[in-house]
This record gives sequence, structure tokens and C-alpha cells, in this order.
Amino acid sequence: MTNVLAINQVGYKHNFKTILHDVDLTLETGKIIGLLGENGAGKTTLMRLITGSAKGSGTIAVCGDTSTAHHKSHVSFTEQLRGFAASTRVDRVADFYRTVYPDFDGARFEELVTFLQIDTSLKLAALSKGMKEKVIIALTLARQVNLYLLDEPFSGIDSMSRKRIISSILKWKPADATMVISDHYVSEIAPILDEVVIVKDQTVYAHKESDAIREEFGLSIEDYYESLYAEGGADRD
Amino acid sequence: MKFDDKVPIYYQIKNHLYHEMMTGQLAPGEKLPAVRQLAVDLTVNVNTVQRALGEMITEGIITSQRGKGNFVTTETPRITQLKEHLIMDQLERAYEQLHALNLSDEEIIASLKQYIAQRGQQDD
Amino acid sequence: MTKFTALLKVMSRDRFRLINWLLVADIAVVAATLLWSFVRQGIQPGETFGVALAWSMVAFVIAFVLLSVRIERVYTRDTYRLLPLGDTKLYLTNLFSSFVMFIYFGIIQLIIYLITEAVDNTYLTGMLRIMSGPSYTTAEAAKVCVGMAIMGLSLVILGWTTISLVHLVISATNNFLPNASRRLINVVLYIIVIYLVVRVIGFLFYEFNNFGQLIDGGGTTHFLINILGVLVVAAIEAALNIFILKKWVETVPN
Repeated sequence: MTNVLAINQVGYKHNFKTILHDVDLTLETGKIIGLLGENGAGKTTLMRLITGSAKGSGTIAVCGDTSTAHHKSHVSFTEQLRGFAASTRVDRVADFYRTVYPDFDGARFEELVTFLQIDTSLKLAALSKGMKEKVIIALTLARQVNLYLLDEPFSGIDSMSRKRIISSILKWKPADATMVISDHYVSEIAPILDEVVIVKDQTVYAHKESDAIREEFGLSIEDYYESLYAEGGADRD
Repeated sequence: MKFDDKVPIYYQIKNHLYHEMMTGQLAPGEKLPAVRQLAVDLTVNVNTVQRALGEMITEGIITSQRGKGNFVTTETPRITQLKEHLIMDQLERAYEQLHALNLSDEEIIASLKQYIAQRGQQDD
Repeated sequence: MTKFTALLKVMSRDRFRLINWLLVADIAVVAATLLWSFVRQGIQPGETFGVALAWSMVAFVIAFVLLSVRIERVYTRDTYRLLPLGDTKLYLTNLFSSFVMFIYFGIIQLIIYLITEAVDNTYLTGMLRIMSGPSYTTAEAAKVCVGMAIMGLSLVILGWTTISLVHLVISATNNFLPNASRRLINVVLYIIVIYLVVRVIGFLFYEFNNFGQLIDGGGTTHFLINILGVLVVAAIEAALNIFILKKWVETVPN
């Protein structure tokens, strides 16, 4: 089994409006993949379809398994902790994770907490945006799964925290696990990406190896990404 | 490490390691850091480091010992060869660019000499 | 896969705290009311029990509503919906957790009744003797109490499955219908819910008027059939809920 994810003809509509259509995407194991696209392009929706949080058409297989209930044990997603009261302390949230996820590695979580400099005695309401994102990253990476989905982990985060998060990804991603990182700001994460997937025109518009883009076009990932959006702008009304 | 995002990353990792070997930061026979450690240090992907090291192994610059890790080759001729290759590479680029400015070979040599002399003065 | 016991533990922890707060608040309010009476004219015979009983009715309604909110929150939050388990297990555990907490609340209330009743014992037994005419035997009284408790708990379950049904249908239609039809659906649903509430209240009055029947042997069967009916409707609603949850209900996006 070398494909961690196989998406076949997936579509999604919300209130009769097409958000995604005809999405085909195959991801191999052990890769770090950048999911790029404008705000509202459907990056989050694509991730939510994979986790089963959104219901669309078509088939999605994670580790060869098409049942949503099984997906969930293979996928770790940066959920925004909305199920917890604002007064919940971070260590309480970690307890919750430890209890309900058999794949949650407590020792790993402690390492991540130390590395990301998280104070687990704080309440969720007291966390700054950057600190909350770090907590979410630590919880997400502490699970041992095949597919990690990080939804815009760097939005609204200062560059020091961003560097720490990137390092923690490189340090703790299991070798055979694949990680998808969505972002609309590419340059900072470009060096760590094996491949990029670009969402545009309500579908997966391009899927390429990062170094192939640099080699073939002599372009940076950012330039390539922007060039796709520029050419798309012309034939749109 | 800062990368030029227009150039393949594996290529830049190779150059970075070559540079360390030339400057003696990595001595012949020395063990390289583990792949994941290199990836974290350079803030690049593990697979990209793997690819760079793979090519360097093929080139014979580093040797891989099963279960022990990667080592800089102890064959000094290989390293000398690499050094020459890198020098040629840099010269070629500089020469081409100067040539493109319509300088003759003599003029190129003259300006290089002048440049070195000037630099020497500045350094003092 | 998440174990049932693990899920029940995390779901109940929070609800247990909630119920405890409610109990503390209930006791505080009862104490405050009694203190107020004490200062004003002194506590009358039977008042301790009466006050505890009156406030406990309010507390039961609040407990029902608070636990219902906890149930509904689970269905649209990634924190719960991403857990590696099937929707059936999630739904049933969720309902069960609130049910257990409701029973816990009921048991503590019962203890409060017993304590306050002990305070007013002489007065209450005296009053009962005057009121009841041909008096109930202890066994008959116990039968009525147990019957009422079972009927109450069945209705609590039915209440929760109905609230979930409405919530899940609204949440499912919100995803794929345009805004105009959504409003129409909501209006229709509200009408259905109001109708159901009226029917249930009517049913309750009917039942309470006929509690006497419980005492004569003939009514028992009728009463049991009613409980069974309530539970069957709740089970059908639960099955529908699980189906809707599985097929259409999405979580709140980030």
C-alpha cells in the first residue's frame, strides 16, 4: 500500500452552490504536501471531506479504506477545539485526547509541549492565537496516524512560532506518514514541501513535485502558484 | 539555512554539504548527521535530504554504511576532484557573464587582477 | 477505535460537573428561601419539604435543558465527530451519558426529598391521613412513585430524541437547501414541534389524571403500554437521528 489517500471524482455543494467538483487526487505515503489556493478556494472543504466532517459525492479511500468511520482512525486533523468550554485548561484537553484516541502518544505530546513552549495550565480562553495554534499542532502531531491534515496552521502567527511549528513538523512526522499543509502564503513552507496541490476553479487544478517545478520552469513555488492564478484570471469573467 | 526557492532544494543541499567539505567543517571520514537531523537543521524535507545524499553517494563523495549512517569519503582524490569541479563551476559562470559583457580574455584577466588588488587594500 | 467506556468517561465528566453545580445552586436556593421565611414569620410545618419540592421541579427542567444542550453540541463539533468510531456508537453513548447524569440528579433529589420529608414527617403523615380518605397502602404508594419515575424517565428520553431530530433535520437541510427554502423548512419544523409539545402535554395530563388506575390492577397494563409506546417512538426517532447524522450532518467549519 503506497497510496495513503485516493480521492475519486469527489464533488461538494453547499446551498446549491458548487464548492468542489470532479476532484481526483492520489497521495503517496511519507510525503509533505502543500495544499495551496486562495481563501475560499475549497482547501478546508477538501480536508473536511477527507475527515468526513463534510458530506460530498464520490469516493475517498484512506489507506485503501472507503468507510468514513475507519478514515477517522487514520487521519489526524487540526480541529479547532470547539467541543470544549472556553474555561477548559490545556492539560484537560490533552486528557480528553489521551482518553479517546488509542493512537495518542502521551510522551510525544510532552516532548512537543516542551519544544513548542506551551504552558498547559492555561485555559483555552487565555491562549493567544499563536499559542492556540501551537496547542492544536501538538495535539494533532501527538497522534500516530498515516495522514495528518494541517489546515492553515500558520495564519496569524508570528514568524518565530512559525519556525518552531515547521521544525516540530520535520522532527515529529513519522517517516511513513503523509502530511498535508494548507496555506495561501507559500514562501515560508516551500522548502519543506515534497509536492504541491493547487486548488483552483473548484477543483484540483495542479499536482506537482516541488523540485520538478523549480527544475522545469525555473520558478519558485510561489511564482508558479501565482502564475496559475494569473492565467486563470484572464479566461474568467 | 536560506534557500533560493527558484533552484531545486536537493541541489542546494548538495552544494551546502560540498561547501562544508571544502571548508573542512566536514572532514574526510567524518560521519554526517542523521537524515532527520539534517532536515531539521536545514529546515527542509527528509525526502529531499535523502535525495541529495543519494546523489552524493552515487557520486562517491559520501559512503553509506548500513546501520551506521553516512560518512564523508576518505578517498582524498575524490574530494580534490570535487573541489576542482566546484572551482571550475564558479569560474565558468563568472567567465560567461563577463564574456557576455564583451570583455576579451585579456581584459577579463586584467580586471580580475585589478579587483584582487583593490580587495587586498580594502582588507588592510 | 475509541472504546465505549472511554467515550462515556469524557462525555460524562463535563456533564457530571454541570449537574453538581446545578445541585449546589438548587440547595443554595432552597436554603435561602427557608432562611427568608425563617426571618419573616418562622418556618411553617411542611414548608421545608414544600420548598425543596417546588425548587426541585424547576431544577429538573433546568437539568433537562442543560443536558440536552450538551447532547446537541456533540453532533456538530469536530472534537467529537472526528473520533474514530461509528455514528451509532457516538449517538447512543451521547444519549446514555446524559441519561445517566439525569438519573444521578434524580437520586440526589430523592435524597433531598427524604431529608426534608424527615424534618416535616409528623405534619405530612397527618396531612396525608386527612386528605386521602381510604388510604393507600405503602405498597400501592410505592407502585405509583415507581410508575411515575419510569414514565418521567421515558419522557425525558423521548424529549431528547425529539429535540435531536429537529436539530439534526435543520442542520442537514441547512447544508444543501438555498436560504429561502431553509426558512420554510424551519417554519414547518417549528409548527411540527409545537404540535408535538401540545400533544405530549395533553398526554401527560391524561396520564396523571389516570394515575389512580395504577392502584386498581386493571390500569397497570394500560400504563405499561403507554410507557412502551413512548419508548418505541423514542427508538424510532433515535434510528432516524443516527441515519441523518451519518448521511448529512456536517460539523461547524473552522
